[in-house]
Amino acid sequence: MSVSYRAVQWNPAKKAYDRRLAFVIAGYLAVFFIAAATAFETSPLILAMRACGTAAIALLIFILSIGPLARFSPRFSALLYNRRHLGVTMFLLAFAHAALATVWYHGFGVLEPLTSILTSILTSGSPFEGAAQIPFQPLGLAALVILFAMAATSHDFWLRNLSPRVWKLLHLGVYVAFALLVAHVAFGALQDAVWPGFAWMLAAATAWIVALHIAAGVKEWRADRVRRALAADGWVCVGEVERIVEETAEGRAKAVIIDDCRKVALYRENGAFSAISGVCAHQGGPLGEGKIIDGCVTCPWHGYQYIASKGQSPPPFFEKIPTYELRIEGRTLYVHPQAKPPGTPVPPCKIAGLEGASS
Amino acid sequence: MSTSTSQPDDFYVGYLPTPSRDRRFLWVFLPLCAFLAFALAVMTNAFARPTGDGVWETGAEVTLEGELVATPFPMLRVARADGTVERVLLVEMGKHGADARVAPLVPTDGTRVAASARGFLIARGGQRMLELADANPITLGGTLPTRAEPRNIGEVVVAGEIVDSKCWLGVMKPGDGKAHRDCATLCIRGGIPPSIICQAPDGTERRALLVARDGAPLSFDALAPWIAAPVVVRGTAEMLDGMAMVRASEIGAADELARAEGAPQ
Ligand code: FES
Repeated sequence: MSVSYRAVQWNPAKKAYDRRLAFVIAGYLAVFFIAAATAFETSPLILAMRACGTAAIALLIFILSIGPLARFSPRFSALLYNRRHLGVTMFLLAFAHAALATVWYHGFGVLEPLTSILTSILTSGSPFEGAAQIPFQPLGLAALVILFAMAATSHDFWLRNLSPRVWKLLHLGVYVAFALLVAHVAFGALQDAVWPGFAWMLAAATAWIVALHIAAGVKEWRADRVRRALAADGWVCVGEVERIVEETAEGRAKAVIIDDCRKVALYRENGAFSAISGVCAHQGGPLGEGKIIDGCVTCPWHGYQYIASKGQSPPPFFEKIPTYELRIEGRTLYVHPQAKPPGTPVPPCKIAGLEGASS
Repeated sequence: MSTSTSQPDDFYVGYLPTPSRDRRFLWVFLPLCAFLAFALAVMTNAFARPTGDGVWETGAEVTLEGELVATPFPMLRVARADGTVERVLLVEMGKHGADARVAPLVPTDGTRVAASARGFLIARGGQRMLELADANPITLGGTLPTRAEPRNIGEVVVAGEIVDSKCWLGVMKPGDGKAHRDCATLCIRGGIPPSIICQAPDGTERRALLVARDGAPLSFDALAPWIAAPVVVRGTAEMLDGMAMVRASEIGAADELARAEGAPQ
């Protein structure tokens, strides 16, 4: 995890992941060129440019899909695990696409390629003259710059040094890049297409991404809106002890939201409950959906671990997350609304009659 | 972190073995995604816009003999076996016209010049262009084909697209359309002769060299905004030994002129 930074931290799962990724991309390029050989004749460099461009956009749609899909089913978690390798690969494909277009369309002329690009951008027609005049290369270029910033800062080194907030914000740029790329294709390749199916495919892909994110957002929002009763001293009621015990398997957590926005994970471990922040210190993964493995809460996204009663990663790691106090009154479980500073140990709240079971 | 002795159940952790439920699911889901991607690869090509029958015979050097012409663009008038004459446009390698090379060789007083030119053929729909070879591609001397006057066709209105002749004739496939615009612009800026392409009523593609009203090349600045956009060109047309040429008196956006004129021809 975070003791030292290595270029990329490899493990068998990541290697298998990358092998499959390389296999699918190689397969894509092979299918593309075989299909091209049997279709209309196209210049080889233009083919390569199209192959890289379409592969990049298909990969981006996949990348943007697995996040919200994982909100609906944990089966997608395995895809999330190594998502940044997908992102970096996607950037490389987009870069190859741009480099080929630069060499082929802007090379061999009376202007230097970069001068030619700049001249093209500065002299392009006004967007008000119709779709045929809207310059599409600057849209692609802007997306590429964003994707580059993201690929360059994808390592955990940057996550730590830029602070997770800034990092997350920067990486939300992927949605800006996606919008730019949809426009890049719509005002570029689609203007030359004769088959209307391409426009429908782009529209369908865009609609899929938007709908998926709205659906995932609505699901979160619903979960966030549960009204919680408060005790006289401000402690927040999270429910009947019996129900919570029933709903939560040993080693698992009940995820609750308090104050309309704060995520808390109530972990059941050895007949007691510990409350920790539901947000992973790494990239904000949902700790409420994690599991206790070897005595540590394990994040479902990349497997960061925490000792539930301490709010800290086990040594030698030093990630810390906020903890919460719990108390039982009558048959109701309450959580203190004030989070303890990250890494503050809080004794687990024993549940009478619940035997400690080993995980 | 510690290596685990826990049973892998349905909880995925990257550094632990993938739970079997996840594994089964991914064995269906990932091939499905790959299949969709491969379908995209096939469709991108199967439904691509046709690119014409242009060829660019790089590597197969040929020599053509005929009358060297410098205006409006460098070309060679080559006698065919049947006695007719064909005009072959001459260009340099890359995105460069051959003006600088050809103009000094042709006197402006109307004296005809015989020459042979060495290079690589670019051809589409029976129209040919010669990309001049690197070193000394033009040798003066040889036999001149018969003289012929241009045949006037009269007023025309052409709705089509302005392209650079070199890419369109076969160097790039496709050598037209919006994606190719910057390339066409760079070619025309570099002296490659511009052409207007359009569809004839019978659906076949037509190309005419595009020049100014006085028959001289159009200035790049006048042409630049219209390259690779849907345009309507009004002017007069003539045939130079079977090669069409339009002297443009007006170039406008296709939709504007169409609105002003009713449907163009
Ligand atoms: S978000 Fe990466 S491990 Fe939790």
